[in-house]
Amino acid sequence: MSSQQAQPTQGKSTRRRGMLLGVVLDLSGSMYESISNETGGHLSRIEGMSEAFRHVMEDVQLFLKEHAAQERMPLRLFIHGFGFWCEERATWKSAVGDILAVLASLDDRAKHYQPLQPEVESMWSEEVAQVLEERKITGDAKEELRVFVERELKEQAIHAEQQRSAAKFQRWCASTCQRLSATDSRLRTRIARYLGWKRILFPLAVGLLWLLRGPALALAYLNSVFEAWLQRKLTALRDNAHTYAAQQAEKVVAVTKQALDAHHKQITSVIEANLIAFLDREAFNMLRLYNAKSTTLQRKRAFDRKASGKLISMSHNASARS
Amino acid sequence: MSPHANFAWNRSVFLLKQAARALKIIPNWAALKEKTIRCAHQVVWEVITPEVQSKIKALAKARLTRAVLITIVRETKGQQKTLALEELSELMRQQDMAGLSVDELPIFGPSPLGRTLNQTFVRSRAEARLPQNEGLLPAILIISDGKPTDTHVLDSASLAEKIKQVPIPIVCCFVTNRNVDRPWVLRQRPGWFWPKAAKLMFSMASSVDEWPQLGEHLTESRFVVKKQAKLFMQINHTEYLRSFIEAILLPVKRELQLT
Repeated sequence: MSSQQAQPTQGKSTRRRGMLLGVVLDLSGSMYESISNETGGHLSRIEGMSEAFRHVMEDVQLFLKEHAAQERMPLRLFIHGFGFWCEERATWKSAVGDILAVLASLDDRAKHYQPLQPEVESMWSEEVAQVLEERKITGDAKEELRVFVERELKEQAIHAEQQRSAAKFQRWCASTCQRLSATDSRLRTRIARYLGWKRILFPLAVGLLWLLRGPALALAYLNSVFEAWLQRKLTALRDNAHTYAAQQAEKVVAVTKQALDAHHKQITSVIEANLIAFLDREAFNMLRLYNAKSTTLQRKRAFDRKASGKLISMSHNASARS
Repeated sequence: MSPHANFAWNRSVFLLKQAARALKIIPNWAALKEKTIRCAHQVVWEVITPEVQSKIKALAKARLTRAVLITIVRETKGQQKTLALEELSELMRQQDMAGLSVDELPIFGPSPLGRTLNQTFVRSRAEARLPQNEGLLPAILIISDGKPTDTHVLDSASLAEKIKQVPIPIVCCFVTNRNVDRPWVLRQRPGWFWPKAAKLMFSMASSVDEWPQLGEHLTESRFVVKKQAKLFMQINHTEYLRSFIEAILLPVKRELQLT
């Protein structure tokens, strides 16, 4: 057929009965956005289109029932969808597919892969559960923390009590008072020796002594009060070490849970993204092995436990980062 | 894990350090930090583990189904299927896609509109030469949101002009989630404030003069077709799409009814 023949003129086209319809159907990422529909709810654009197409097909089926084949005007169509994903890096060719060809072979091919589904699903669940169990933090970390804090508080409180009894400042106050007492007695002795000066020096000596002793005594008093308070605190700390340690452990748990709750949405999406990437890799690997007629045992062995372990750690780390 | 654990540690360590300084006690900070982080680590683990397990269960089926569908699409590459209405109806009747969720579908990838249009054009011309398609009017229906990702390789608008000159009429359904114009009216010119995607789709559409029968059938349904209007339709509701597709298929019905 020449190109002229292949290019129908407008006049020709109006005379034609029937249509060869090529549909270019967008299945790309942007079609995930929502569209209004008859139910009033929001569906993705693809779901909306699928719904509309389903209704059209129902009408078509009714129409076909009502009219015999020879009465019908011919309509032939093909549908090119674009926006398909592929396993490897997407190219434009991999993104385009003949939807009717896919639909026509869907049932047969799906039946071929059907036995794999329960096997893979249970295998993934079991393997991941096992990896989780292996990587689980054994013991009761909260209790360990509580015990450690309690022991530390008790030991440190006793140690501090002992240290405080010989506290530097207290010793300094005591020695200052002693030195002042010595000076006092020395001065009194000297004043007693020089009687002539007694009247003049006595008020000065008394004044000087009180100037020195007063603050020293006041400081000594304050220090003893402070020390007594500290001792009480240390005793309380030692006596209540169990309660304080339990509170501290609870606080660590509460603060961590609070942080996790605050970022729950991000954590879930990070976990999901990591899992999806891992499961996709595994799924294609399983399909390749299945098509290569591998045994169940071979497929089980092929499960990448190292990667799943890494994925789980990564999920936890990523969730913590978010 | 560490940041959350460190958060728990940092929150409590300040007060602890001040208290320790006041009481003149020197705890083993390194050991305390390690124990605190381990405790927080375990809390995170306990919270995350059930989530991972439930996610695995929920995702396993979906991801495997998706992988199977991607494989099937790959396996059917190169195959072509052009069906008559009754064959299509039979094919759709056999399909049971009710169990499939949107997330399981191997779609929502890149958007090479230009290249797909070109492929459709080439195939339309090739198919038109086949004996079973003799006498049929080749036409192209584009259903898209007009955001191609291959404009740097192939300009969809220029290609559409070339196709229209053949002439193969192009009908455009612009899928959107907002009203760019009155949905039941087919216009001659795009609106001033239409988005770029709508303008692109509008420019690609043929004039109703190039396919007057479709214009008539659209007029007979709920659509208002202005003079020299373009075969461009905004689809922001499934009802519009349904009516539009039926209007395209309607000639089949109507001509039959007339006969």
